[in-house]
Amino acid sequence: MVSGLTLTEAVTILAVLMLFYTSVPVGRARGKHGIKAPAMTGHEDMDRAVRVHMNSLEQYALFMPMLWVATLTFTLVTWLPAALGLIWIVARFIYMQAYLRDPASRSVGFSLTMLATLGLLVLSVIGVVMSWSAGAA
Amino acid sequence: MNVIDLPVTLVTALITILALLFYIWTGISVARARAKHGVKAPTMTGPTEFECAVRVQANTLEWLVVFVPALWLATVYFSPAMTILYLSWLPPVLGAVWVIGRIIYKSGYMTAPEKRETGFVISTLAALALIICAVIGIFMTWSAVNAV
Repeated sequence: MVSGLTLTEAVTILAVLMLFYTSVPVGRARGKHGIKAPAMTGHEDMDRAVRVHMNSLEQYALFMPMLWVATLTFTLVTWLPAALGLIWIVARFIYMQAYLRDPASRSVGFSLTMLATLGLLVLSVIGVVMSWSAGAA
Repeated sequence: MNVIDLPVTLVTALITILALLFYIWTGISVARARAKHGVKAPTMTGPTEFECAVRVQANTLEWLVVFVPALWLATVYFSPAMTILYLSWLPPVLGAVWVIGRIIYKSGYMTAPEKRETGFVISTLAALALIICAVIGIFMTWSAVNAV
């Protein structure tokens, strides 16, 4: 049986790749519309791509610590943090595709992202409290 | 006992959760200002209230990248290396100071941009102190490993 830790390590690598992938449309929009660095605006395609990349970075900063605190402290169902991590990656993909097509359709992917992160937050709180009780006992 | 099960590590885990909840709050403020002033995505400019909320969130993200690793390195290396019990609690205490500094920074910035300094200085000093703790902790752990 693969340990929860190994699963989370695999999910971490996938999440890093996903974050990197969100930067690809920015480069593509730069090339397509001739937007030279350091300009961050110039065309609607560019604005959307930049926002997808920035929002993914913002969400990643929330997600990664929660994924690891949950993995290290929540030991009831060891694979659960990694499973939520996988949902987060899928949600980011949905968000990216939707936002690039139409910014108004971004809420489904965004909500799913927040759901996965809040799930990890809940597991982290439970994990910390349980580990604390186990230590005190 | 595994370092992850030490009380000080668990308090650091709680501080991490609080810091991330604060960061979610900065994002909620942006979303609310977006709705209030009708600033539609992907636009990132507009009334001062919206731009202040955006800057608070962006600056917090920039510092979160420094703060989270520094907090954890200090907790893993500095706290177990401290033989004086109270000193081992310094990393999570500094973490709490960082969160409080950020709350002051946010409320100051949202009142008037020039009122952001107090909170900024508090949280920046806390982050720098955590980096120093991490360096001391890594050095002490290294020395202990090589002394054996």
